[in-house]
Amino acid sequence: MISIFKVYGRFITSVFLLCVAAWVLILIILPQIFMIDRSFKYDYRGDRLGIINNDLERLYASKLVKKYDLDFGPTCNEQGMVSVSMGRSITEGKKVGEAQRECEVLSSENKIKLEQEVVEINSQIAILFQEEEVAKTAKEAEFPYSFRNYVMMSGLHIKTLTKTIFYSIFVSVLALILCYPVAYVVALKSAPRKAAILFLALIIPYAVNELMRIYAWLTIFDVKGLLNTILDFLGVLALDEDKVIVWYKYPGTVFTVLIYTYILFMVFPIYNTMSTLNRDQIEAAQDLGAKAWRIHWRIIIPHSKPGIAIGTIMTFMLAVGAFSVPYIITRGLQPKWFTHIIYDKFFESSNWNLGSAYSFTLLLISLIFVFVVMSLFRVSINELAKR
Amino acid sequence: MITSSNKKSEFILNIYIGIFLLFMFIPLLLMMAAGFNATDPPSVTDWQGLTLKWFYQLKTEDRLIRCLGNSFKIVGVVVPLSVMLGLSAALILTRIRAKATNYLYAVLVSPMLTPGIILGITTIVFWQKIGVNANLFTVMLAQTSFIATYPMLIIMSRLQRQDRFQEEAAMDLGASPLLLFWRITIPFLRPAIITSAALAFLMSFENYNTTVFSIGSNCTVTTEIAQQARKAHTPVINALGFIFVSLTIFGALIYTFFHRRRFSRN
Repeated sequence: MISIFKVYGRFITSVFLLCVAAWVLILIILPQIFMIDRSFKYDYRGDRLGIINNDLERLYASKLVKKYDLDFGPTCNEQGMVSVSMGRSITEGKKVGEAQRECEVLSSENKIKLEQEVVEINSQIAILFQEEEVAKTAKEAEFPYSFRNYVMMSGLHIKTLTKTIFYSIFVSVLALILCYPVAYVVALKSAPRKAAILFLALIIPYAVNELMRIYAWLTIFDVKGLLNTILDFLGVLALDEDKVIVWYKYPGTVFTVLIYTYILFMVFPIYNTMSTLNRDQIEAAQDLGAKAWRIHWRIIIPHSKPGIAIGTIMTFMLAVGAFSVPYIITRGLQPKWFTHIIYDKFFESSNWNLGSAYSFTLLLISLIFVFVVMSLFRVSINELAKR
Repeated sequence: MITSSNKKSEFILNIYIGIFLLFMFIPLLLMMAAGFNATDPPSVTDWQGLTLKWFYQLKTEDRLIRCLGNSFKIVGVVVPLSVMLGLSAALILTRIRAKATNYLYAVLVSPMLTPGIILGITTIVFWQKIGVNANLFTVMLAQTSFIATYPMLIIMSRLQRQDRFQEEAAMDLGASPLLLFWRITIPFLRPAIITSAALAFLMSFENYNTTVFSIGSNCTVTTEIAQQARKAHTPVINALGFIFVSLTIFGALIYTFFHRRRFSRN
């Protein structure tokens, strides 16, 4: 602590400390705490407060409509239909100009009535506000925390979650098997020039926008895409007679694209640790007559363990939290992915508490996976991040 | 005999790498090619003639252009902020030896290992409580929370190779802390800072999972692409894809050019 103050002085060091404190507190810890806090609060909408909130929302909406009618007159569309809130409609077929004139007349006739209604709504809102205060204080007196959000997860959602985890484990294992030889060739088996070219060839798809990489697969999986056209050419299908395969219906498509999108997050960590291996070790083992598999098992794999661990964790984490791949590839033809259920909880049914519980569950699962992989490979978190 | 089996295994490995690279590139090449085809929905098999009209149509996509502008606004905040936070954390973690720094390190690495959607969710839940609705601001913070980890790791690995004598010499000669930081530490870290800024740019620009949860009703170029791609398969996006991939290849070539030494040193 003293040395950093001595080297950089009080001012710069304070700026550093402030930055790190802000990062830790405002960007990481507090948001997590708020989400966890929310996940243990059950949002019961059938209670008095829920009903009041519902009524209030309804009243506000109808007040807005009436205010609009008062300010701008009832809206008349091209057929001369008056907005329903006026309770009257004009027969179709009349000229637009005529209809508009009629609207103006109508608005003046009903103006007083509308104003009265607004006043009435206002008084109702005021009453509800008072009731809301009472209900709020009553609710605050209760103990707010419970496990209800967690117990509420339906069988279907649990099934989706299990499927998502199962898929993601499979994705990371398959990615590991596919990537190990690639990393091996680039890191240890190539002359500098070839290694540089291969590295470039891997960097390009890695750096291309994730959405574009997913989107690119539509050209292949479309009904008239590459896959069906090839099968048509081979005589298996007949595109003209609508004898086609709708690939988007099959979970294999999501799986393939998940592998494609996240596989390079496995290659680079393994490559990074593998390339720090001293090649003399391999040569020495060869001179002593070790077989190839033995060199891998005893020298290369133990050395690249941190890279393998971080790659496995990254691919699992990306797959289990994948939103974009199933969003674009399923095209609504496959059951929902767990991340989409969470999205719906937040933005469709706007039950943030339940959504928080779901996402905390997902977070716990990824944490468990991280610890399992770390103890399996016997690496610590410090080794993990030094890629 | 050993050499012949070595040759054989090398041959098999090379074929494998070839297939792997084909798998990585074929979808991208098909997408790019379809951007020049006159058919809609885009296809490479139903060739209706070469055209540039989808590229011209890009100019009329007002919404997409507005979303692209949002993306650049976000990048403009996230990149400097991430580098700043990463630099601070790297200096503190390498210069302060205490047990507490191990925990600090674990906390700062944790966002990297957290599914992106959860970072978006925690951010909007936190700021909604304070009274800030989800918009570009929440996206910037949600993205920074995990992107800053990468500059931290890159700068840390460079700091570990630093020769402390220079700093000590400067101190002995009476350099002020500000001068020392500006003239010795920053120049030494420059390559790491540039690399981390480039990486932060890429990660922020292409981020989708965190962004879509924290953006509310606004949009970035990736959320807009996802929206359009979900609704339909349109060649305008292919044209945009062609531009994105070309820019990426260009950037990757520049990156490799400046990092040639890394390979020749091996």
